[in-house]
Amino acid sequence: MNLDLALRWSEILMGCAFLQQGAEHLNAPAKERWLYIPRMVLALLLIAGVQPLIIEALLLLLGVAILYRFQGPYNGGSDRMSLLLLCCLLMSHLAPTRQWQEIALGYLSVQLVLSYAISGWIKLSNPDWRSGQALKDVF
Amino acid sequence: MFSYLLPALIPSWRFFDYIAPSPRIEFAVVAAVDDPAMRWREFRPRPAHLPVAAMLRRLLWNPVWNESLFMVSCAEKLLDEPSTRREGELLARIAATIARGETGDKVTGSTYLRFRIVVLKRQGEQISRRVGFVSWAQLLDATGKIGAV
Repeated sequence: MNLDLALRWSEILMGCAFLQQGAEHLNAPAKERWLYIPRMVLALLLIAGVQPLIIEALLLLLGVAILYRFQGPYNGGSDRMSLLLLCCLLMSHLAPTRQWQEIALGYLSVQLVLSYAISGWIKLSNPDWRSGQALKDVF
Repeated sequence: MFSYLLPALIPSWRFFDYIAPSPRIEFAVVAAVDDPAMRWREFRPRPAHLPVAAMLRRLLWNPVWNESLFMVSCAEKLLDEPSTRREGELLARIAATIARGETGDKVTGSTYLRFRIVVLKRQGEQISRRVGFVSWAQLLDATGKIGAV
């Protein structure tokens, strides 16, 4: 898979994730709903490949507005990863050269691997996670 | 803006490296603000049994659970730093579930809602419970609209 195809697939999958997240808020109170309906429209445009630079910039602004509305992420790590993905994809469109584009997507890849590797290691090394006790304690 | 964005751009992926005391939200629906007979109930208790089909469905679609996780995160922040905005957020979300009939409560002309945050901490086999926060009493009406007392 070349870089352009990886970029395009990342945009499509992120758009799908935003659509699903948005659908969860369609029955929410109006103020909350009106943050997510425009996000769903922008996600559809992103999936269609319309002006990705502008659409991603608008999605980032909406992402910050959503962070402000909930005083932090609504879905914890999942929202943070979505924002990181969005920022890196936006940076790759703004990158002046191919090398900077690779750096933007490379940073995203490193963070993606670290997110699973570090949190996975913590759970492997803690006996309460291995026995399932921690799940009961946390949830 | 950057205080919200920075944790996403430079994340630390140490999810649950320390298992902190877990907050549980309980609520009570009463007829008067100073009702002494407060009957606290767990908000959205876990089902005792869940069919496999429901488990699979919830892997893909579970907005109620996601909202509950957000409320727990809100409760954690409320314990760290009391805020009327977060308190109002939790009251509004509990009131909405009551208005939808999710809790089975009948809302009459004078009905008030309170919630409290109970902190559970396990030490060996023992689980200790401590009430960390009690909200103000919130007047409810049947439509889910709320007005502070």
